[in-house]
Amino acid sequence: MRWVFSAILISMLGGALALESSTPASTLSKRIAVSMAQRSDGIPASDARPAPAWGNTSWLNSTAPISLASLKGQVVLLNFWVFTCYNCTNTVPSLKLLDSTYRARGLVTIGIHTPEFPPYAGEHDRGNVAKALSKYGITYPIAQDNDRATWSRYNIHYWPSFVLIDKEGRIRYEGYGEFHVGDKWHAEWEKRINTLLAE
Amino acid sequence: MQSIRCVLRAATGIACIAATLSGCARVEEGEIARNELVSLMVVGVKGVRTLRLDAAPGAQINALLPPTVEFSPTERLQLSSPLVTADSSYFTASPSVSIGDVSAKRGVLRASVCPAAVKVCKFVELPVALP
Repeated sequence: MRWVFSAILISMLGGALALESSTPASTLSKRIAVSMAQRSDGIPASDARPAPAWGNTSWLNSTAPISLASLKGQVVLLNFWVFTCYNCTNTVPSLKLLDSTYRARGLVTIGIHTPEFPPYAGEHDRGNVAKALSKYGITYPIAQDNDRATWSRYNIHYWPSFVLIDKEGRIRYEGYGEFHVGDKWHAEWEKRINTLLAE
Repeated sequence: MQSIRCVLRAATGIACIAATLSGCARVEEGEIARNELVSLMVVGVKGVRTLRLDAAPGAQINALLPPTVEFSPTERLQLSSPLVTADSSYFTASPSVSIGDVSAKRGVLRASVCPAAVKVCKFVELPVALP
């Protein structure tokens, strides 16, 4: 009888080990956290690469498409988001505060609205995006990135993501993940914005 | 002392058998797609074949953008669950859907999955082949 229990126990231990090796979400979390840390120091101006131009044609909160070239001399904060992402909409109050605080000093906040799903989910619909802007009180310009072209050019992987571009059109800071008014990451982005505005 | 040992042995034995049997039941359910964030299972619920999407530990499935399995542009199954977080943002139980009379065998799973620790969402797209 003992050998039966031993066999069962060994198989259970094996199963437990197999289960342990199949819990990679924590690994992914660690990987993303490491990436955030690596990116948090920013890129020196001398090493910074030029921000890719975007060609989005559908804009909200703007009477005409905004080009990157037209923003030279200003600091640009790009926010890659989608209204079906709770982490993204949770960050909106923070972005609104940054926009209202620094717009007059030369910060341009732009939302790049990038759908996750195909059009059947409704994220591509301009009317749905407009409703979301109204719901969350977003007044800064939003580009619809329905073909994910700008998302791909900036090599974005997560919702929400952020790119901070200096006055010379170079990418100086990148990061991702929800943040809130008053928290560490809001303060960090505010510090970065101030650094670039002062250059 | 001897009797305590016997009781412990018996309890361990029962636990082992229960765990082994539940392990077998999981295997019979049949996983048909998997990545580091989710696994898609075919399960039998009251005799009905059902697709169920399980999140890996630490990951949450976005309820604002429910997972779908697309078999063709006109044939699509949306997985759902009535159990969501208080803000309706994430499923708190694995979303599922009855397979019904889907004619195609091959499709694509799409899901928005959000690792809670880092507060981002990631788009998951996996090929699916029904058994």
